[in-house]
Amino acid sequence: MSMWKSFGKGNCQTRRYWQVLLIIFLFNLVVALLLTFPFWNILGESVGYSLAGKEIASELNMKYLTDFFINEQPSLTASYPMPLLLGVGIIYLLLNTFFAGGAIGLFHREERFTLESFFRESGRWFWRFLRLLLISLVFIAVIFLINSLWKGIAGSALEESAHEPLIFWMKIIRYAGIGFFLLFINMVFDYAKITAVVSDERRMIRTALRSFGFVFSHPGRTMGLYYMVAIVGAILLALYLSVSYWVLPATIIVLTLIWQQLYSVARVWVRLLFFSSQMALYKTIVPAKR
Amino acid sequence: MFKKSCALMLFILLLIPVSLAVAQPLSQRVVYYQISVRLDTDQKMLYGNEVVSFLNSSENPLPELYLHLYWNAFRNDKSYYIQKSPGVGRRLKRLDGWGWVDIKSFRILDGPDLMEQLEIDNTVLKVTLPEPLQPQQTIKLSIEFENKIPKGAVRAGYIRDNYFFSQWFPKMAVYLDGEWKAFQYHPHCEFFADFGVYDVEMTLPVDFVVGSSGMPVEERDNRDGTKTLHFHGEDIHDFTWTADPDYGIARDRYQDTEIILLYQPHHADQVNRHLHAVKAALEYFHHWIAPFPFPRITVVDPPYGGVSGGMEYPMLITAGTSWAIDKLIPGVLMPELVTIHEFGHEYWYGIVANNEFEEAWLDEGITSYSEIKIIEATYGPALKWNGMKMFDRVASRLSYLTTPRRDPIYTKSWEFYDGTSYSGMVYAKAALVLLTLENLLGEETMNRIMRTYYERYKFTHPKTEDFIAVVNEVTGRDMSWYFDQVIYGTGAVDYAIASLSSKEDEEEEGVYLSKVRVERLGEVVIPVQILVSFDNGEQERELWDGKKRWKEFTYRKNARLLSAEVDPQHKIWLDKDFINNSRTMEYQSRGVNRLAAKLLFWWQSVLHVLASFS
Repeated sequence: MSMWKSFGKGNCQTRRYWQVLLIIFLFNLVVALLLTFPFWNILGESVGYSLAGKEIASELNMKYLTDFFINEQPSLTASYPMPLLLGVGIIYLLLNTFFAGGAIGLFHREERFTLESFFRESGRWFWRFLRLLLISLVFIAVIFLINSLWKGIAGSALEESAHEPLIFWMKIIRYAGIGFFLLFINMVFDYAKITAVVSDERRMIRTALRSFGFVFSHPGRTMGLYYMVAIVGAILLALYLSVSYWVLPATIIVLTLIWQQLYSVARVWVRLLFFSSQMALYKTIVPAKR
Repeated sequence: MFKKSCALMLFILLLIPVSLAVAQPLSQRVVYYQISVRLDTDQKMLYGNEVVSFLNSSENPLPELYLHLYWNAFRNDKSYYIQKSPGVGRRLKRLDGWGWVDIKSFRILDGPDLMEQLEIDNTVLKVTLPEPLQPQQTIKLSIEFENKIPKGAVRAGYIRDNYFFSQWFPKMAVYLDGEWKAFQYHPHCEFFADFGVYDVEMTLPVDFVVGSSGMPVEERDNRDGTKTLHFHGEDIHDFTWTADPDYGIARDRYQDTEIILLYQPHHADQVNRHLHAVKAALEYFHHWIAPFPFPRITVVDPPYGGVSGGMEYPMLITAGTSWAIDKLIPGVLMPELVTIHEFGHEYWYGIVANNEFEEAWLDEGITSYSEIKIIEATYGPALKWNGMKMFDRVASRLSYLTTPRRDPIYTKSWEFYDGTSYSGMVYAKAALVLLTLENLLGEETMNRIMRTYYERYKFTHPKTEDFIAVVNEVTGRDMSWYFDQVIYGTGAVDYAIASLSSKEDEEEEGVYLSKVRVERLGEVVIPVQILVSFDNGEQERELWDGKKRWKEFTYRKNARLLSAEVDPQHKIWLDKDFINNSRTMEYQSRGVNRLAAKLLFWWQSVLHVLASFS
């Protein structure tokens, strides 16, 4: 099966399991709402009964934003303590790892969606996916370590350079390099999850290494498919931004909110499309080798 | 022939008063420097000989003289400067970029050697004279000095082939009000010197492009790979120069002023932005204050990684930009803001030359105020990005609000709590003090104040009380109550509408009894206006002297109260919270929801990114 066919099958599967998309989207929305609520409250107390609130409805006046963030800093800091934010972040990451198991499990088994089947799959793969998450964090840490070393070496080498554009492009290349390797690790560990599910593999370090082997054995198709989905995501982002800035009147909050939520759905869809299309590609390649 | 001779005679006679007028000094020339200096680019050294004439313009005999040796701030990590700014010390250490001034000989010209009479304390040199210098007497000192050029220091030094020479020569301190104003160089301090004349000859490699204070007099090729340039500057109080073989040169003119821009080759596409900014500033000052009195202004675009950007010197300023800025964020007026600010200093420092050590707000604050006026009149918002606009005055207010009350504006530079407090006070708050004053007095009155201050104190050293005296004189009112609070005090300005109520009269249908309570939350008392709006479109304007902590206004009308706002035109830019300036009867859900929706989406996006690791 080609990349295109994998992409197509992935798209079909993502649509078929739209309930998974809905669960993940709603979870994202609920957590974001919980995080927004204290801000909403502080904002309401600050500008709710002020003419500033009236003006902000039509134009984001920097004068008022400045005053709000500086004068309300104690309330904001008290409402968003760092341990709370870290805790929410970790729980969110763990629950998304849990949901990823449900999504990939269903994409593999292709059985009818029920809440029971979704949560059964989620629970079944959670601990394995969690171990994969921890292993992937090691690789991510290595990327940032290499980045800081590179930054130091390049900084010393270019310290005497007067070639500003060169220095600028070196920085851009470094950022692009970080981005590339982060995406690469992300892709490899997507395949690690797929391998774990398809092969019912329990040894996760071995699974991760096999995924590296898989990607390196089929770099064209794996990376081609990954970037195909990534480009779809980029197009959706461009569409979202274009409509936000050029089409939607900022003053109609309901429309803005709906558009934002549609884009949020699209982001979840892209995330699931990565799983489903990569699953399709994996299943095409692996049996062929057996 | 006779007619021609008569005409020639008449022409010459007409020229005499003109030439006499031209020769009239603009300042009391207290110092006259004749310096010849050689730049050794291999050893990174400057070898100089200086003859400085100093006129004792005071009424006191002076048994000793004081000079500044600013580069000794970068001699080692024991200096006062490095102690206060260890980051600079770490950079100098890493780059092995220490720099200094060594005095090789010091004598009265054609007189005794004074080397034994020198006491050097880091950046301050004291010399005891054989006999006190009497009032109105002039002394000529002959000084030989050797400078190690620092690398990675602040405001001066070299990077690659770029050399920037500010505060590079042994420089006379100012004797004022019966004392020497000779202070150690501190990270927050700038400079203070007497007006005078400078004749400077610099010898350097022939391929270097040079920019300088003063005007060029002569350039000669020494036929040994070097050239010697002679610059002459009159009625200036400092002399700065720069040299780099790679400077691009752009020229322009505004009326009688020649503009020279020395730019980095990679910034060629920003030449017009710099030139436009200088011309806009020249034009604004020309009409607002007075024509620029010097024939030339040199703008230096500093090199990448350099440390000389964003500074002012007589007839020479340094700008600041980057190759990427207009490509990444074209809505940011980075070169314009820096160039216009530094040009403003040509008036408020270069001409009206206050003591920057002790009363920095007089130049930084007034210059920031000028910058805001010029930027907003010429360009509008200083930042346009993502549908948002930020005006220069809002940026100043942001800087002020970060530390609004740690120090008074009137504080010696080295006595500020930290750099944030220093810049928040002397730049930002001082600019807002003047913007608020302009709003309270009216723009025309404020313009007269600024023109009077300039005319009275040009080419002299005014103090804070001189500025306040001008304000009082022009307005015909004693404005000390204002300056006492906002310049000498640390009190906050914060007015608020504390509460609103509007209830229908139980006895008379359709009649509402409305109450507005205004509160002064800060210590600073400024009379304010209050605008009260009703639902039939009616408005009431009230004046409150603000002396008590609160005041209540009561209305009985056939209309329900809608809102009330203290200082509705936002005249008081020092107010620390414009949001609480107003209060409405109705909840403004649209504004709240709009911002909350933005934050909701922001949180969702952050969570999506986090989920991609799962």
